Amino acid sequence: MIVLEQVKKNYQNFTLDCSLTVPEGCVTGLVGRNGAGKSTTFKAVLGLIGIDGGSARVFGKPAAELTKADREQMGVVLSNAGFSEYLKVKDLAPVLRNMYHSFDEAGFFEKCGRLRIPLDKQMKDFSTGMRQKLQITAALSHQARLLILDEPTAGLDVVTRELLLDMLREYMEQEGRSILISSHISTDLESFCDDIYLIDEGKIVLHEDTDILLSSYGILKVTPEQYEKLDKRHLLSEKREDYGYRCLTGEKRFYQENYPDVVVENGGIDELILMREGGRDR
Amino acid sequence: MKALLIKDWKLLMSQKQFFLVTIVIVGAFLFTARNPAFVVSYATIMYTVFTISTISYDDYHNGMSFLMTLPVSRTDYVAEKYTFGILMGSGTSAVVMAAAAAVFKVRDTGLSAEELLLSVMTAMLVAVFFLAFTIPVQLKFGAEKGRMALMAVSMLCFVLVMGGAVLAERMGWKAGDLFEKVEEAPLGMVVCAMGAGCVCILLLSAVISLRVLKQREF
Repeated sequence: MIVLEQVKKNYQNFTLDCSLTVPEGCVTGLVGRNGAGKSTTFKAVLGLIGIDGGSARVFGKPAAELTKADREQMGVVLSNAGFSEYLKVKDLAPVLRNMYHSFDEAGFFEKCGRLRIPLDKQMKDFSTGMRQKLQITAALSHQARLLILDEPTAGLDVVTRELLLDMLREYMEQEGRSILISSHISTDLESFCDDIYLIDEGKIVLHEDTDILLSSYGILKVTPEQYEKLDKRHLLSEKREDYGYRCLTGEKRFYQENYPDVVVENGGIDELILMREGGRDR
Repeated sequence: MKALLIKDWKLLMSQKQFFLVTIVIVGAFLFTARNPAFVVSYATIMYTVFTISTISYDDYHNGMSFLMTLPVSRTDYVAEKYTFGILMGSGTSAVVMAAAAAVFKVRDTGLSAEELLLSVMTAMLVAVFFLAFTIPVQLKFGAEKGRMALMAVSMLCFVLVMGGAVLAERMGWKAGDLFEKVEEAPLGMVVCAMGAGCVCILLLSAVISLRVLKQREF
């Protein structure tokens, strides 16, 4: 569905250099700190920015050449942008009806009701969460094959987040669909994505299946003495701490079996991001 | 493009205060003025200006970047803005002209159809120039910077026109002669020439707007 090959985008203080693939039938997560390059990657996929090198292809076509018919197959939620805030939801329905051939108006209003989205209120008076709910509802309303969701759960309470994730899971029940999603809430991605890319300073620094990430990755907390004796072949990065070293490994079980006195904690997305912050790659 | 036209129409409908104020002003002038020229121009230009406001609304809170992820091409967007502007300008002119014709007939002011038509044509001409200048500027610089850029463009135009007039006078041509020739020409020919001029200006402006939008990154 999406193939980014060494996509380069140069800004004054930032360079994106990113390769990423979202296969059909997969939910792919993109994680990273603020300013790591997530939104720039999304913009490259959507053809909102020109790229300085590499190739960004969606549905097998360069992103810059996507037609209106291609865009009808895409549902998009952007982290800091949406429909004109002076419109009401009831105004939006005729716009979407004339924009998408497969717009399911009844379904759209049914979901708005389920999520308690007011129909007769200007969107500028919506809370952040309400806006996000509307964006997702609209993205799900026209039988898109591909969802591109940049921080779709930002600003939502835990109940609504779970409700929306359920809607996305329901969306994925139909074959031939894919999702590229970014989120600051790691638990959302851990429970939902098939694979995860970690981006840092514009570069993809890790790509792993979520199952492997959760089962094999771990954090070792070691004293300087333990660190000296440690087999470092399976360490991915390390960080100096008051007590010694904090190390990220992709072979948690190896250290649990061979170094029973070493504290080994389960790894997750948050740990991966934290290890990038001030950590040193091996 | 239909979806975008509906969106802008809905945006217009959401501006109830704008509606109310313009209707009150138009009504007041229709019943008090001796000539409808001002009120027709006022209403036409105000509602044409609204096209520019819709670009600001689209831009607000990065809305334009989201709009460009929808099944809307950049060509569609530019075409829709000009279409909306022309529809707004001509629609408003027609409505206010009809209202003026009716009110002035009741008031029995002896207003001629030719005078009324001239008012509408002048208003449309101003509206066309306004659209042609402001849409590309607004798309290039956005709402805030656009105002400054528009002022700069207006100043430049003023300087060019004044400079041209001075130069023409030094070369022995008088602007007054040109106006006299226009007045002497048959009305039909003047209307056709103005129409063709408007179409050319709008097309040129649309080409510039499209180039601006295609180069823009979101």
